[in-house]
Amino acid sequence: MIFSNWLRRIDGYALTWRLPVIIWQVLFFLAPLVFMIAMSFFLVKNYQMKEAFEFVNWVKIFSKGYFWSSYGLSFGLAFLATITATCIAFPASYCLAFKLSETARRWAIFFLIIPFFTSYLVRTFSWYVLLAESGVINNIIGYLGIGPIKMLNTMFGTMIGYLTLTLPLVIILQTLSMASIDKNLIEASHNLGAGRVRAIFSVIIPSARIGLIIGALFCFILSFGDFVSPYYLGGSNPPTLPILIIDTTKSGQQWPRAAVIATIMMVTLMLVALSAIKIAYKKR
Amino acid sequence: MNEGQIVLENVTKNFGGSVAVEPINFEIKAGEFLAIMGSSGCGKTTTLRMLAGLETPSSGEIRLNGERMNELKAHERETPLVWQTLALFPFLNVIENVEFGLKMRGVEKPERTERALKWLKRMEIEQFANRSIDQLSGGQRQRVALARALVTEPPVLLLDEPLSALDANLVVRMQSVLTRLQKELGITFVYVTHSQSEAFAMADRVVIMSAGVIEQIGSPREIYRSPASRFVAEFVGTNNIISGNIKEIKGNTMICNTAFGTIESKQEDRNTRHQKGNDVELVISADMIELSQEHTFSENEIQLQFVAEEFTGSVVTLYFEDANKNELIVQKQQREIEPLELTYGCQIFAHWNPINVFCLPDVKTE
Repeated sequence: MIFSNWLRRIDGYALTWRLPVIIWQVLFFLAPLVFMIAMSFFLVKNYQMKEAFEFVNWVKIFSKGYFWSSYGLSFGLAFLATITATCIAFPASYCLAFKLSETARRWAIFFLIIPFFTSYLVRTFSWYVLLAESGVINNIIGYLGIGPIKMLNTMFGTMIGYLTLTLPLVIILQTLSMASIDKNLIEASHNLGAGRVRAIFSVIIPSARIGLIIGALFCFILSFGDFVSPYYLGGSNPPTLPILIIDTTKSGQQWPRAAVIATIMMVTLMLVALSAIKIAYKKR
Repeated sequence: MNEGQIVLENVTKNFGGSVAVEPINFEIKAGEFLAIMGSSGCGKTTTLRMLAGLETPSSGEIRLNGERMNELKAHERETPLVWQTLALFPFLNVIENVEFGLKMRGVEKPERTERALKWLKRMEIEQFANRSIDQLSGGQRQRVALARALVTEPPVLLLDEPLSALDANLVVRMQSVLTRLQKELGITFVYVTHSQSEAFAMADRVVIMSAGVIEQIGSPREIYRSPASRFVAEFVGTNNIISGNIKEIKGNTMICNTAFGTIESKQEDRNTRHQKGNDVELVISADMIELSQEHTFSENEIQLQFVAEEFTGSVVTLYFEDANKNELIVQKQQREIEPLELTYGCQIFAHWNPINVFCLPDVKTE
């Protein structure tokens, strides 16, 4: 009875158009996710995965000190990248949004999209040329009698990689949100006695809040899950969580333990994203 | 030197190549309600923005209390502006909006709240103090904008068409709020508008601008009864502008040949500047024309045919034509024309007092 009511209420037209998306999401997002979570309870015997429902992997991972230090490192580095990217992007976005003409701004945004045309891996490797011990930067400062400074295989290298990945996106998001601020509001703040700097803090930042937070959130998500930068530019020592996942799968086919780490990362990102969105769209 | 509170001396403004404001000169007295009126693009808003420091004059000087203020930045001036869009901060609630100006001046929180509350009370919106802006009606937002601008007790308040977004009956209510406020505070209001009714209802003096030039400055009555140029005559009220040629001048009486026949004008001062034979433009205000069914045998009388009417509430605008299809517009109260029993095409007699006919000063001599 209830079921037939429910059936009658289904809109065939709407369903037809939505079905491909739903099927895609179920097949390639939901199903793998469920499988990954299920796998985290499997066992490995003689380098062979066995279906089971045991908490042993979770206990193992949670009790390991190296996991927690990796977790802290990943979270800390991603957080640092987020703060750095937001702070570096802000003055740039401010200029793009308020100092440039509409046409110039469109060109600038086009140039910010260009980096995404090339593979991130290629962009990361091109930093080698600049950052290496005998690279361009060390050569130049060598003439000045400084260095060489070790930049590759350090956290600085990792950070450079993260920013390469995220900075253009953060600037684009910040610029778009600042360019759409009602100019009257900024003028009104000047009119009521706010100088340029106070106008930034009292009107521009609150008005562009959603764009600023979403930009920062993207930066955090991309950095937290990034494997390339900490591996190639950061020297993978100490390892971040993505490197730990690789290492875990390589050593003794421990896919279930890797699944545990991946699940923890997913949960972390979910919590960060939800709280960021809550802050961004907070009703006053 | 006893000059006004605000003085604009040969002030101009160019944007790129285009001229927004030609050299303009006028003074605003302390405590005056001055309206700057004109159609869009006439330079009225630009003039106001120069007073607020949001635009820098291209040349000339703006003085406040005798001191040049061209170089003062917007945030260094005490000339708050009420925006057409109100420009209330959507991320702040009502009382925080009102406190904004005080906060920027470094007033401590307790005093800030106290002064802001005082203004919310005065504007009768204290019950909305903690509401967000989007929960308010148009009229309430208007009051918040006024409170926000006035909380710092400035000597001058600038208003840029603040009532244009409100509906008609609310406009009338806010007009009385504004005039009462201005009288009570005794500060200068500079009010930019395109609406004649707003300007005339509230202002002590009106500046009429067109294409960056001041056409006339005067009290609403002066402007309404004796427009200084054809532009003003067309812009203000409903006027009949009739071209003619001076046939005769006797003292302050001038007789002109026009398309409607000879028209007589009696003016104390204005007509003496003209000479016999000059082409002039005569202005007869549409509400100064009397109508009757019968011949009145007065000197200034013409016979007309009723062709159209425009009914806007209690006032009716009537369109007439003479035998040669020259149009004359008459404005009357609805109850005044009822006894005339007008029907389309009927003949009627129009007459007027010559003292209500005056000619525009800009004489076409060439």
